[in-house]
Amino acid sequence: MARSGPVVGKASSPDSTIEVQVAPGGLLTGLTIHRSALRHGSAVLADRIFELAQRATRRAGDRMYHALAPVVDAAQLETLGYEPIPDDDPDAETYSYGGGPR
Amino acid sequence: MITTRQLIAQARAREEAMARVEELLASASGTAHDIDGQVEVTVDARGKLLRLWLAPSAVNLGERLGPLVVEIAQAAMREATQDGYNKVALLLGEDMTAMIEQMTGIPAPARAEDDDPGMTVEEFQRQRAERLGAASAEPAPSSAGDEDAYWESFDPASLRSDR
Repeated sequence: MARSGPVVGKASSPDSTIEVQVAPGGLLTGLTIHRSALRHGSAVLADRIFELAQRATRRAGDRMYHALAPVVDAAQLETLGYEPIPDDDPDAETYSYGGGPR
Repeated sequence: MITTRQLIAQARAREEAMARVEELLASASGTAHDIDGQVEVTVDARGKLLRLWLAPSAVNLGERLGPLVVEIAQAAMREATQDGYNKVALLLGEDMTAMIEQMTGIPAPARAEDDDPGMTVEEFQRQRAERLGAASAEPAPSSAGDEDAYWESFDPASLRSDR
């Protein structure tokens, strides 16, 4: 883990105009909003950021789960909120939209 | 002399209390907003976003909006940490909570040296005088039609209270 740096979770909108980065647990550590994402208004923007933050949080939890699963009990990891994401889940990082790799 | 039985009972009680701690921390949350009230964020004790509200004017911040939301989320997390400690302190008492703070290495934000101690009496009175000064500087309603509008917005707190 020391080699790969701190564990983070990332998610971005399909058009990459919003990029969210969170720490394990879900605390926002980075948020980039491209100007073109602002034109839909504040309510839509807030909803999109919220959804992306949730996805990023699940991804950070998935990474923590896989990093710690060999040494820590799964139930213990679950109480910390670190759970693996199934491969066929849209939030999985390997999940591809519309068939093509992203 | 403490008996083994008592020791076991103590250990059990401690274990039960610690189990509640996890529950309490899971229910802790914190909310923060920026100074202009354009961004409001609520997070849980782990920092997970529970709510994000943006004022319509927030989009005018352009590229500064992202970093601002991150900053407010981190302030909200400090509030959530404090909320968690406050809840734990009710259950375990101040001494035990202080011990947990030391164990986790995350002191309660309220202990921070730069924590806002709140408003002093002098500051409150100065702001009040400013408010009253601003109120009396407003033009008095002239016609009967204006009078209704005046009473609609009338704030009894603006009355002098010293007689």
